[in-house]
Amino acid sequence: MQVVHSHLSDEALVIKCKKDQQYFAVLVDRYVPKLTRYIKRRSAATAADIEDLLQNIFIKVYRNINEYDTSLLFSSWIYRITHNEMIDWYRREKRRSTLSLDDEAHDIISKLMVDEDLTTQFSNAEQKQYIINTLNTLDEKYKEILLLRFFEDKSYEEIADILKIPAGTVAVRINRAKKQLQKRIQKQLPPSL
Amino acid sequence: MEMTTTTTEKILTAIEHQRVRPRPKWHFVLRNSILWIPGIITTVLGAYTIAGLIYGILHGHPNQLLMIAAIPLLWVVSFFIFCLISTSFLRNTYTGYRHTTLQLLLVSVASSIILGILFYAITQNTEDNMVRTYYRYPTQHQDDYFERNVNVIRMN
Repeated sequence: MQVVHSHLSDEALVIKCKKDQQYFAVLVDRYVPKLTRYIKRRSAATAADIEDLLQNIFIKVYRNINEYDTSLLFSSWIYRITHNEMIDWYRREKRRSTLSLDDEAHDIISKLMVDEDLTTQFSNAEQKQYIINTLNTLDEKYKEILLLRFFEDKSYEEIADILKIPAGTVAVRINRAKKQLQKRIQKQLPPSL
Repeated sequence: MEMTTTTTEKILTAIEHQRVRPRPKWHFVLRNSILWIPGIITTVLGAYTIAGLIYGILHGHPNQLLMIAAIPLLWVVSFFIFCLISTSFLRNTYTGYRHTTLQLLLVSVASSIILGILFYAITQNTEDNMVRTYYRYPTQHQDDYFERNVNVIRMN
């Protein structure tokens, strides 16, 4: 099924899956790896938690498939549902979101640091881990927006659609998040760095 | 890949077992329409108030003008409360979140003013037509009225 319909866009699959549930399987297959990675990065959830979260997310997607507005990307819509589900999960579990970034994330940290002109100070893996820890001390809204922009590689418009905020607010928030990060890094800089 | 397939199968089985069915389109259309109602009510009420204010300023008796002078503060406060409620509703519509609260407030105020001027123009036009019709075909009641006034003047 996935091989046959791999050429179809997400939006085309959504239209088709309203009539035939088989097409929904293609969408699920397409988004499970992306959303798993996003959930892993956003939380310290266990494999079982991730599976439960994914199940809830796709059930919501299927139940509300007729709500999907074609003026926005399907990926933005499914990320929005994931974002809301994560917030509910934090509330249920009484947890605070924690970024847990993989090895690949270290390269992305470099990208973020280029913007902030901090590359010369933070070059090795240990120092980058220090930045990840500092990222975790940021305000929730800033942590979220930096994750979407630099780790999920979403555009400003996509972030606006995911978080349901105006695009201008996204730009302002990213700017403030970077400033807060830079301030905290320089303030908490250990003597060895 | 295998993990993905297993997860996909589990998700699809869960959908099947829980008998999840997509909610009908009308459910979302209705919800979206309901979110627009407070915004529409606020704009129409604002427009009627604007029309009333224009009428009061242009045709009002000095006592009426005094009353109207007290309205704006009350109106402005209640209008902004209504606007804030309606903008919070509008932000939950399909594309409402793309605009800032200030943008939504400005659109609401501007449309109230434009619609208010339109309401005033329409009612004035209707009133002028009624007056013209009234004087073109004087009734017995009007004749009596004039006669009474003429008698009062004569007596004085």
